Amino acid sequence: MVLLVTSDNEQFNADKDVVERSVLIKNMLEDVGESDQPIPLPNVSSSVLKKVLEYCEHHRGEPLPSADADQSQDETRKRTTDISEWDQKFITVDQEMLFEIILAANYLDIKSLLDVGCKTVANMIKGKTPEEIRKLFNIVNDFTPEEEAQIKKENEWAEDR
Amino acid sequence: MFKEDFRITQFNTSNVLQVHISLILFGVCTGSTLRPNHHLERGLRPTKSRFTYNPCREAQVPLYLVSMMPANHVCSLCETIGDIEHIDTSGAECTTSHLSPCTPCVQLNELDARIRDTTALLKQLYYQRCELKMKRNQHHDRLVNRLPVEILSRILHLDIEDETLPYDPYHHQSPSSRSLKLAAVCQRWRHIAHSTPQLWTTTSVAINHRNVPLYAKLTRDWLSRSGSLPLDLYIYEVRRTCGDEEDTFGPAPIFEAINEQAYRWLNLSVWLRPGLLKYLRGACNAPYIIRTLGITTFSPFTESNPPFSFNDANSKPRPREVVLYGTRFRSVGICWDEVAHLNVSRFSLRDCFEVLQNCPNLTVVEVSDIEREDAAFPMAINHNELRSLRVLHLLGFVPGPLLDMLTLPGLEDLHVRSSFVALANLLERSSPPIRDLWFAPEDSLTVGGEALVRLLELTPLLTHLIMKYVTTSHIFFDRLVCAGFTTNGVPTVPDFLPHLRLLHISCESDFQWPSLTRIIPSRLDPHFQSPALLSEFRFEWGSSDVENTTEWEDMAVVDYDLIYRLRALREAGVNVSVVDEMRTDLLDESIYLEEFTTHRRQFITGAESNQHLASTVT
Repeated sequence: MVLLVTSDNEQFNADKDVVERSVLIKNMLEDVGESDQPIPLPNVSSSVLKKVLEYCEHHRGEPLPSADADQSQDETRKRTTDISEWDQKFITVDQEMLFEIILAANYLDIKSLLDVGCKTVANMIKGKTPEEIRKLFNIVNDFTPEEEAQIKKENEWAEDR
Repeated sequence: MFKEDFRITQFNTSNVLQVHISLILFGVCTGSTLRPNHHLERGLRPTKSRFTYNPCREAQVPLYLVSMMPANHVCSLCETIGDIEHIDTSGAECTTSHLSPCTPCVQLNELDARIRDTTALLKQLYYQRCELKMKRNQHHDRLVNRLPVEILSRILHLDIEDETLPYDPYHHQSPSSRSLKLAAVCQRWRHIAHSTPQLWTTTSVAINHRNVPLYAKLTRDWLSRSGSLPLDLYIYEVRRTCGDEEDTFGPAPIFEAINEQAYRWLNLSVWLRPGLLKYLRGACNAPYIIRTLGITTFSPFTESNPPFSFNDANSKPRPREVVLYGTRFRSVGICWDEVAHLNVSRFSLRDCFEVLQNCPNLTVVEVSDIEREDAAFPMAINHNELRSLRVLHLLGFVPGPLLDMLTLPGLEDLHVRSSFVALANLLERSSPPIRDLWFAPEDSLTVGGEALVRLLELTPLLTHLIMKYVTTSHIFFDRLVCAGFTTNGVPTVPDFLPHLRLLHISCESDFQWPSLTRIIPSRLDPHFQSPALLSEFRFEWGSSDVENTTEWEDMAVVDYDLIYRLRALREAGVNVSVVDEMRTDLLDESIYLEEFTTHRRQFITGAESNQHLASTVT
């Protein structure tokens, strides 16, 4: 078992093969060797770590994506925004928690979880117009007239086909 | 004398009236010669489409700010660039008997000065407003505020991924538009989008007859945002014509923008008239990385069309995959040595031979619509590397002359509509390890079951067999029976097509259905076993001659014993289907028909017994 300490000082015990889905933690464990010392995670709160561990528990034993997976995927351009059913249910959280999970996955270096988070956000904005995206993230059009004119030209160019 | 410019650049339908009122009031106040009906004087009517774009409205700019737009804007009503009105206050040239400007002129000058100052102030305020909105966004945008730029870039890239699929000009789905939309959300998003090269690696470049300089600039901007990443480009002419008329619109600037990036072309697809191909010259110095090259022309190459070649003879593109439609082999100036996949349409027979002769590494070839030439190719070709040959969609051309000249000892996949004899000769000559065979013999009617068996004996490694309108017979199925089933649980040792897994037959209306019982055991057979090897049967019911197609409902053609056998086979886990031209599953249909008949019988029986009961009671 491995002891993890969150930013709000809560302690979590988890199986080694569960937490080792995090490349960061895996490397730390390899560096310190056999030790009962808790691993501090100052960038992850307890509520988020709970979700992360739930994800790691579910995907325990699955092969970890190789380091060059992204590169090969880029080459073939075959990635999709499809998410498995369980992952989809898991990631159905409010926006704030979603961003926290993405940040935690990035910090802990859990590629598959980061991928699920990014795909979820991508699905949120997929197919939306700029105005709809603004509404989604509560932002406004802040372009100057010159930028507006440029955008207008670009749009006309894209549509004039 | 001085002129004051009032630029009314952004209208929308709801504001036009207010603007006109404002102009009139403004004219009354200043004594200027304002002409709010300027557009009508020019005989121009505002069109609906001109009102569709209104950034001021979107940005919620107050109406009084519309005059603050830049001078180079186009009036949304009359398309006039810059000024609508030149207000001649004439104060400086006012001459009166008192040798000094009259009082109204002096006042006009003063008022104009105030208007200039106010205009400048308003402009400044407007830009301050944009800046504040940008800062507001920084506070409000949870996504951008919370996540690091590299993750945002990744999310934006995921958003456009579906649009980076191969572009199909027939459907006019531009893969470009999504990236532009992401860059049109707000300034911060625009910055992130522009800093994400992956968003800009795929684009379709329309060779448009309009706005060439502007579109060339936008193309260059787009490509420069992709950094040094490999590019997927789809270049096509918007106003395609059938004839190869001279291009009079000078598209060179757009092609220059594309040629500058030639060293980054990874996948290049071109849909152009032959006359425009000359502009696509490639790079001069850097080596090419091009992997896929597609060239489609809408009129045939003629002697007057120069060959399509790239600039630097020392470094010709060496694509792995080539797709050509309507071009000649000799018209494409690439290095053919490394081409492994080739898909060609409207090649001549000579082109087919030349390409096989000049591409030693070809493994997959798909040809369609071969144009016949009288001149025969002088020599036979032995191609050892070719694994897959597909000859499709022939227009009155029988590929016999093509097959007759080939020896393909490495062939594993053959898909051809050919004469039986030509196909048999090719197989005999090549002894290829064919595993996948699709064929539709042109001379099916003259070929019997024995010839079919002899032909298939030449393909002992066959696993997939698809035959279109072939005359099969008991002989074929008698030989096949050993291939698919176990006998008493002990696998037989088939000597005919021992590896066959998949069998599709398109049946003519005279197909001898009873012969199928040779390979499909009866459920009543005590030794009934699931097929050991064959895992998929498919029978397409119908005919190349549609008028002679017998309806499946005509059960005289197929008796129910066979249908039951087929259904039993399906229940045993074998993928069995019998479909008609409409892809209706006729086995499912037969169940329905059977149930219908049973219900009908029950109904009739019920009615008869009711009638009997009624008569008894009476």
